[in-house]
Amino acid sequence: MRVVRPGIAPVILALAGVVVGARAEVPAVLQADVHAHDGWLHVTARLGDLIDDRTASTIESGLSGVCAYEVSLLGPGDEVVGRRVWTRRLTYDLWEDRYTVSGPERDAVVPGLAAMDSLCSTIDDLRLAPMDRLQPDTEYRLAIVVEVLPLGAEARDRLSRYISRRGDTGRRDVDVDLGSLFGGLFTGGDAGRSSLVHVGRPFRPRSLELRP
Amino acid sequence: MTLRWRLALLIIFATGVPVITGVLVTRQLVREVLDVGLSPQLDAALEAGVRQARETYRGERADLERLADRLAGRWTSGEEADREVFAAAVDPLLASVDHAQLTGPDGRSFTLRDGGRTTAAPERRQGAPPEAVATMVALGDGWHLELRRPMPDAWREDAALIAETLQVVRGLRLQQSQLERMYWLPFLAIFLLALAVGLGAAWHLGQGITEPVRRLVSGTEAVADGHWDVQVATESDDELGRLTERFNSMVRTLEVQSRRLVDLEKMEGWREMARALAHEVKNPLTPIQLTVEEMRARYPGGDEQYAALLADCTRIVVEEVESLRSVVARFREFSRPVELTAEPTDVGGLVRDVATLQRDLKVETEIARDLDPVRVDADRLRQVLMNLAANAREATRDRDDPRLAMTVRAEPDTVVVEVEDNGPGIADDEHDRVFEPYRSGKAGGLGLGLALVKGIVLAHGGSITVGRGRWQGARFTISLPRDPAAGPEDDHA
Repeated sequence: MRVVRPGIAPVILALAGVVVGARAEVPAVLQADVHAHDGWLHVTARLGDLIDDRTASTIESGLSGVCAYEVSLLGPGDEVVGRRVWTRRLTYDLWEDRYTVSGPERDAVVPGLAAMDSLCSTIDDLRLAPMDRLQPDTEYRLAIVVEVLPLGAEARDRLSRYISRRGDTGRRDVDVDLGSLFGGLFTGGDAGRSSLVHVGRPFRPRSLELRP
Repeated sequence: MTLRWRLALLIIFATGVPVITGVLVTRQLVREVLDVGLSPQLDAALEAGVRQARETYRGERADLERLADRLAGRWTSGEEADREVFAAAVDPLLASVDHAQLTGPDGRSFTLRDGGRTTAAPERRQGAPPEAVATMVALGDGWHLELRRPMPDAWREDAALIAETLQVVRGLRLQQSQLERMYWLPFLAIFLLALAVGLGAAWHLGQGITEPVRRLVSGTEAVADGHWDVQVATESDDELGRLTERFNSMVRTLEVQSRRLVDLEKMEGWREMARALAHEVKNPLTPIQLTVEEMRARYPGGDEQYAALLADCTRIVVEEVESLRSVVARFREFSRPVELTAEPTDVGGLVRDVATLQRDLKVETEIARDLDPVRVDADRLRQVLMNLAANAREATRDRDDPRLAMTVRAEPDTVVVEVEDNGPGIADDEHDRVFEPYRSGKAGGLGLGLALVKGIVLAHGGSITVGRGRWQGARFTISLPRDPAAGPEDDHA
């Protein structure tokens, strides 16, 4: 089981603050709740402002965006006790005027960006870790990391190809293929991404609300 | 700050200003090009284009839906006979449709028309425009009619282009700052490379300039500290190389002149001493001689034995007085400045004549051909050569094969005469002092011979040194200036 270095959370938070500091809208965790149900620790969370204007503009041009989620349960010494990782792909069909959120569980067609944002901002009843693995009186913390990439890998590849291609005629204006060079540089780009890191307050399993 | 650092800083400044300006201009240029290429106006125009293309697509779909509704109005039932009637009736209306198909409640389908240009569920790349419009209308009793019509090729191409351009503009704008870096960083790298190459070349060039200058400065400081024998290495034949050569030549001349001045001062000192000595010795000689002669003349006689003793003593005193007079005469001769009568002289012939006179020595001569005449006092120079030959004879007195070699050769500025013998030679620590007067190795000698020789050579503006020759004997080397300006007319040592 991977162990997160002690004290790394503040650093991540500081970095995330730098990343999002220049943005008008800052993703935030509005509410995060853990409860026990059916022998599992469940997580329900509400996030806010995941899709900012730039991400929306990119998605509405037909390029796909990606929301990446990582929800972890941290034990003593920031040891990862349980973790769930998944992504949601955000697409818009220019011609059918259709917004789609594709996730591991299902593809959902939503009426607009607001609905897309709402769907992406919801972590609903996520089974995170079996309760019998947790110590009732030990303190645990919930860590939520969300990254919004306005350009998914596919979209970045398309842009990279667009920049690096030499034109449909195959004509080459210069012998040095600067386009390929720049396209290669562009592939590794991650500009525009926004990150959210949330580390919740400690809780003890014994004190958790039991839901039917 | 050294010259090299000043040169380096100058070149850094001269290279750095255009490089930095170039980088800034390039960066600004890239930024402006991107601003133009990704401008909101372009974005709005592309968005309007997409909107227009979408309206066209929707219009096509609405038209197909209206056609489907019209066709549905002619539907009666799913019975085979009614279907055939339906098919015949709607066939003229399907001219604009690529694919028409009936599907029954049991899933069976009946194709009314199939142009083969459309497919039921075409693969479509994200954001790409659809290839066709399609609609499905319910006919009743579980029957459906599906219609497909391809979008015009021109529309598809235009829509794809507009959509892709919009996506690229939006995607690039999202990464504009990264894109700026991506484009101008290679230019920065090129500029930095140029700067590095320029600096390297400048440093190398600076080294080529400053290193000879630094060596010259060191040489000058050494000369200032009294080290006249310094010579600066020359590695090039450019202006700095020629400057270095001239510096070395100048230092050599200064060294020779300096030594000559010292020798002249020493010589003057010795002459002054000789003058004083001659004066002090000469003055009492006559009273002494007169006194002893008076003593002999006034002796009245009577004692034959005493009279004989007195006569012998008087004779000895008178003889010694005469001898002292001779010494005084030589001292006086030495103390007088050397007067020269210089004329263009064939030094080679003069040397050959002197060599011929040395019959009791085995003489070798080596005279350079085509020697130009040199302004010297032939008699004085002959005196010098005879004196050196006499020294050689004296030095080789005990040898079975006494030998003497006399050579004459031309140097760029001087004529060099060498006289060497196969005697025992002169000890190394005596080389500098052998020309001092009163340092004679001969019994009864006054030690004025070599001093006189040196005085004559100095009077010619030349120099004389002694060392070891090819037979390990003494070798005297005389350098006489070829240039009349440095010749004896200006010097009366």
